[in-house]
Amino acid sequence: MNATSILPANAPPVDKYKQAFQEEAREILVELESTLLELNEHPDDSELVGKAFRGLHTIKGSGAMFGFEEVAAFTHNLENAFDGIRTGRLHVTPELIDLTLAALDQIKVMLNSTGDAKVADASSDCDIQDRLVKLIGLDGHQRADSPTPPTIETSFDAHAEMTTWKIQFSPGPDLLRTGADPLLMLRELKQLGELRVVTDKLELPPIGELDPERCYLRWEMLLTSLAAREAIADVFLFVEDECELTIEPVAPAAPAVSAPEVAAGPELKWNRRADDHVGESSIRVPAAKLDQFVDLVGELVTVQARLGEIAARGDDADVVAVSEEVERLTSALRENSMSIRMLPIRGTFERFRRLVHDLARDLRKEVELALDGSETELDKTVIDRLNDPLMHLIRNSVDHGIEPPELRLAAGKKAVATVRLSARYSGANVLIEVSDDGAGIDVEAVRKHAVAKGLIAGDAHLTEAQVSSLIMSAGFTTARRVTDVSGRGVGMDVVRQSVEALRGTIHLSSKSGIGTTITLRLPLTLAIIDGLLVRVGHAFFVLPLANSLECVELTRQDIADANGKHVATVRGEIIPYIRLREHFNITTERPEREQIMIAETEDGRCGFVVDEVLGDHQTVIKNLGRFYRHVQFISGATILGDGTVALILDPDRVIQDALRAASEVSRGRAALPPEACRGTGDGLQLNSS
Amino acid sequence: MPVAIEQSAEASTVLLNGDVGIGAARELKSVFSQALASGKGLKIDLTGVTVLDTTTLQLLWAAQHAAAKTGTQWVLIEPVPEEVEQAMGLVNMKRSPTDSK
Repeated sequence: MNATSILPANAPPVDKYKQAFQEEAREILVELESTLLELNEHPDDSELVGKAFRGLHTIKGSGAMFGFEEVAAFTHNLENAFDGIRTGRLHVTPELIDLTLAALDQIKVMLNSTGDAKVADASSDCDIQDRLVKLIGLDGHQRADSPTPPTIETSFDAHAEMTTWKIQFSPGPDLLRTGADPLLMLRELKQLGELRVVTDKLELPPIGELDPERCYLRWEMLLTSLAAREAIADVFLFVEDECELTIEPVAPAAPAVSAPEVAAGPELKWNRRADDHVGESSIRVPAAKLDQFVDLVGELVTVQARLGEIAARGDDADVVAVSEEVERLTSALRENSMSIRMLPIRGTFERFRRLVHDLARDLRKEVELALDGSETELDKTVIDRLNDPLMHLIRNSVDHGIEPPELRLAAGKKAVATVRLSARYSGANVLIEVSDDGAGIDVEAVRKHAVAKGLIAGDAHLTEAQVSSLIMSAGFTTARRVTDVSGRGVGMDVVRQSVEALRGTIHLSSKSGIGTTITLRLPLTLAIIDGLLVRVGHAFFVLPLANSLECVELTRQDIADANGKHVATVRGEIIPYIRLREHFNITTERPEREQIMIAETEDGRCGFVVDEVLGDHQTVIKNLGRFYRHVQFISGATILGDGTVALILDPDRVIQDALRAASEVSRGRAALPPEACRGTGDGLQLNSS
Repeated sequence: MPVAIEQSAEASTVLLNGDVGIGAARELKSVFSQALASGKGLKIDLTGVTVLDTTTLQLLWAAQHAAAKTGTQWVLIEPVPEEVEQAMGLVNMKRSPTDSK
């Protein structure tokens, strides 16, 4: 997984905080991107302008504080631009938004270039700065009634009232250790107006007892400024959790404070902020530590299963009681550890706003991105690995799916196309859909291309869905030109492989002239699942409980009644089944009565015939290693209480494998690639073989 | 090294250079303690300082206070760089323990 790197334990504390700043800044940049794209659509939304300004201000202020002077200097003009918008001197234009987005990209590069490894492109930096200065300082964006040309250094509202503010700032004892420096904040305040400072040194101990990294100083200040309270509070934005701060107006339009008055010092009263520590607190933990935690919980689950086995074999009531208690606690711990890893998919979704914006601009199309179900939570590992597949899908939609505006209008559609990204729960899975209202897949072109590439026989009889699915075959592309966006023939194949690596599946549906929908079905987690433990002969298998519906008995009479077909009638419904004994070529003697575990699959309900259903099982998923990575119908293995290994089955893949085997037997050869067998919508047709 | 000490018969001179921040704070405390313990006058040479932070200001104050308490001479060697001058002015730090400015 893309775990956050961990600094060595002996890394200097300031480096750790620098890293924390980098991480926070990257998060702010992601938010800023979304805000700017929203602002592009709603240029008069003052809340969005304020949000963008605050984000830029934080990056600038904190950047300077943590030694990222380049970042701070680069962000300065951007901050001024948005301050100009806040105060009505400038207006939001698509050009300003594009320039700011480009600037954010440059800041990302700067954040990534640390120490000697400078990779930031200085020429790009200068180009953006020049364009920005020109845009906000020299062209016609200033208000016509503005008496003087706006300068980038101005940061006050011309109509604001001069106010004297009393600021009490009491840093926490550990603030200096975070890399923050109150002196820089005082300097920043000084830039806002006339500042008088009283430093309280009462807590400063004799030098022998002084901890040189601890902050003993407090400040009371009077600031006479045009700045609003928010602008003053922004100075302390990055340390607000590490200090006590009050900012109160002394009086509007107060006369300048005389030095002797301040020197005498107003009564020092350090008030705790009213909203201090309100709301939930959170901590930042490296992802690798979380992985380690979940691994340990996994080990505990395995040991607990072993304890349960031992307790069940003996007749010691106390051991049984302890074992049950450990089982209860382990189960709670497991759920808790899993929930810690769950994150809303919002962050990933929001990133694509920028992608769609840039693609639409480059391809001269009009596209809006609609997001649904952003609050849906998924395991962090799954989310991390979803970014690339979703990016490919969205690129394909905008490049190949969406028509140019003139063609859309000619087809009676709105000029502005919609790409919709949605997420929703489905049992223990999450369904993620990428849909568009574009032209849909040209089935005939796909068929011709597949024949030309030798993917299917010229006389192959395939449904439209089967033909459409061929675009996920390796090296398939029908794009007539290779663009920067897509058309290199690797996209959809890579998407399929990435999704399958996540134990997910991909399904495509398309209607000519209406649009295309691609659905990813992904497991909520990749670490521990609830499973149903079954036995066939001496072999043990786990079927994911989320897919399991019910277990019914299969007698020899039932088999005889089906006339050799692999189907069972359950409450009047005919359910096809797969006999795992045959599928895995297990040669032990078949019991008189078998069990059918009925599961809900992509292709409808299907039964899996086993010798015995042993019950539910908390399944810690272990990777089978690279030798078995091509065995797709087994998604991993788990260790049972007695040390036996049980294979975890992927019901959908078992069905596909059985269908393929049946197809090979009936035709004598493999007529279709595996992809073409998937998601046909024709239901299951399993015959006795 | 941003912190050094020079001893002469009449005074201990503490020399600070470059970017003096939290990374040098422990060493600076040790040097000040050593200089004050010698009982000689204390000269502070900040002429080579480019940046200083709150940890340095705290130590300067603590050393000033210790010097004033024992009647030790305290001298700030001129010229004090602009950066230091501004920082001291901002927090109202006096140039010597007896300075009434």
